Amino acid sequence: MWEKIATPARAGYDRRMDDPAHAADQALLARVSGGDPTALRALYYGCAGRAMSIAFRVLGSHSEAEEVVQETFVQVWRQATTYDASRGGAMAWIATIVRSRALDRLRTRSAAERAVARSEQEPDPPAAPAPPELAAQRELRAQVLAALAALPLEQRSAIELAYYEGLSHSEIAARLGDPLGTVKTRVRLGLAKLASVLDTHRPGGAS
Amino acid sequence: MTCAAFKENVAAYVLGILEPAEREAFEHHLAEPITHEGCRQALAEAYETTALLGAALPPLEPGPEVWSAIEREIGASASGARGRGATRGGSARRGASATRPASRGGGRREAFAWISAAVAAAAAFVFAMEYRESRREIAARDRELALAAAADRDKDICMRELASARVSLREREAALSLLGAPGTQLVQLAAQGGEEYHASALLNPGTRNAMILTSALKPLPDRDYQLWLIRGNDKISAGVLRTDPSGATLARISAEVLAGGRPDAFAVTIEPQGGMPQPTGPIILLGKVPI
Repeated sequence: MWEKIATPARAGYDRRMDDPAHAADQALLARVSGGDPTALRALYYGCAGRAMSIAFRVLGSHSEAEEVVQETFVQVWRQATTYDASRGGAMAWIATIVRSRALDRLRTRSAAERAVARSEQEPDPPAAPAPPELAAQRELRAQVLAALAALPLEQRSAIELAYYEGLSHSEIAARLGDPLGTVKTRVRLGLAKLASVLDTHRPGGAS
Repeated sequence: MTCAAFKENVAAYVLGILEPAEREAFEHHLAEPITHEGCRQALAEAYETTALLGAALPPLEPGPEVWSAIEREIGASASGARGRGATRGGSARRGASATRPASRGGGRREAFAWISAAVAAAAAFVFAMEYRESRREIAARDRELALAAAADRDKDICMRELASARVSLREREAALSLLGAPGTQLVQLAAQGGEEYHASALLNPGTRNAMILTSALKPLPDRDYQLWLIRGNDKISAGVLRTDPSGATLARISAEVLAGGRPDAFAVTIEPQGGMPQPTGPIILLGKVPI
C-alpha cells in the first residue's frame, strides 16, 4: 500500500561529499545552470535564511542584508554554470558569495560609519518574523554553537574577526594586540576543531 | 609550496585572512599541474567549515519581497523556459486582477460625463447596483488573492522543508516535479498536540500522484506513525511513516490508496508497531484538502 521510495543511506553520511542532501543540492545547482527557476527557488528556500543571517551579522542592517541576499541569488543564477565542487557544497558556495558581497559593502563604508554601525547595530529586524526553525537546522545550530563555545575565547574571537569583519592575520593581530604567529595558530586550531563538527553533525556520522 | 603546507593553511586562505603574497602562493599551488595530495578536497572542506559559522547565528529570513525581486531580475535576464517559469505564480495573477477595478472606474466616470441631469437619478440607481456588484467582485477577488497568497506561503514552507530534508536526490527530484506539476495541491498538516510536528502532503488528483513530507517526527521506541486518507467516514491507511533520525521522511502515497477519489483530509496517528487496519491512537497531524 505504502511505498517508501527510498531510505536515506546511513553509510552515505560518513563523508559529506556523499551526503544525499549534499548531492541533491549539487543537482539543484546543475538544474539552476540549465535555467530552471524552480531549482533556484528550492535552493533559495534551503539557503536564504543562513545567507540572511551572515549578511546581517556582517552589515548590522536588515535592509542592506536583504539587498545582499538578493544580489547573491541573482549571482548564483548567473554563475551556476561556472560553479566548481572545490568551492564546497551549494550552501558553502552561497555562504562564500554572501559573505564576500557583505564584506565588500562593509569596506566601502567609511571608518566612521563602521564605528557607528559597530556600536549601534540596528535593532531587531522589523517585518518578516523568523519562520519556525526546522528540526534539522536547530540541531545543526546547537552543534555549531556548542563547538564554538568549546573553543578558547582567543581562538573564537580571531575566527569571528576574520569571518565577519574580513580582517587579515596582521589586522587581527593588531586588533587583539597579539603576535602575528600566535594569531595564525589560533585561527588554524580553531577552524580545525570546528571542522570536526562537520564529521559529527550528520546522522550516522561519528557522533 | 607543498601540498602539505597548502592543506595546513587552507582555512586561512578560505577565510581570506592571508596577505596578498601568501594568497597568490596558494592560488599558484592549486593551479600547478602536479598530482595533488587532496588539495582540492581540502579546499572544499575548508569552504564547508567556514560556512558552518553562519549556521550558529540566530535564524533570520529575508522578507517575501526579496524572492519577488530575484524572480523579477532572473525573469528579465532569462528567456524561454526561464521566463515562463519565473513569471508563473501569484504575482502574475495579482498583477492581472489589480488592473481591472481601475478600468471599470474609468468607464464609470466617462458614463457620468455624458448623462443629463434628468436621468441622473436613474443613473445613480444603476450606479448603486453596479457598485454593489463590484463590491461583491472585489470581495471575491480578495478571497482569491488570499487563497493565492496562502498557496504561495504553503509552497514556501514545503520548499524549505524539502531543501533541508536529508532525503535522496531521486526523492527530492520527484517531489519537486510533483510540486511544479499543474493541478498539484499542497496540504499542510498541522500538529494537533503540543509537539512541533509538521508535514506537507502534495496531491495531484488528476494524475493520482501524492507524496508526504514530514519533519520533526522523532522515531518512537515501540510505536509507529501511520498516515491516513480520510474520505467521508472512511479512514484508509496509507501506511507507516519511516522517518530518519531527524524526524524527516519523504514518501510516495500509492496510487491504489488514491484510486477512490480525492481525499477530504490527511491525518497521522501514533499506532502500535507495524500499523493498524483502522486508527486507534491519537491524531497528531491533520490537514484538510482544499476543495
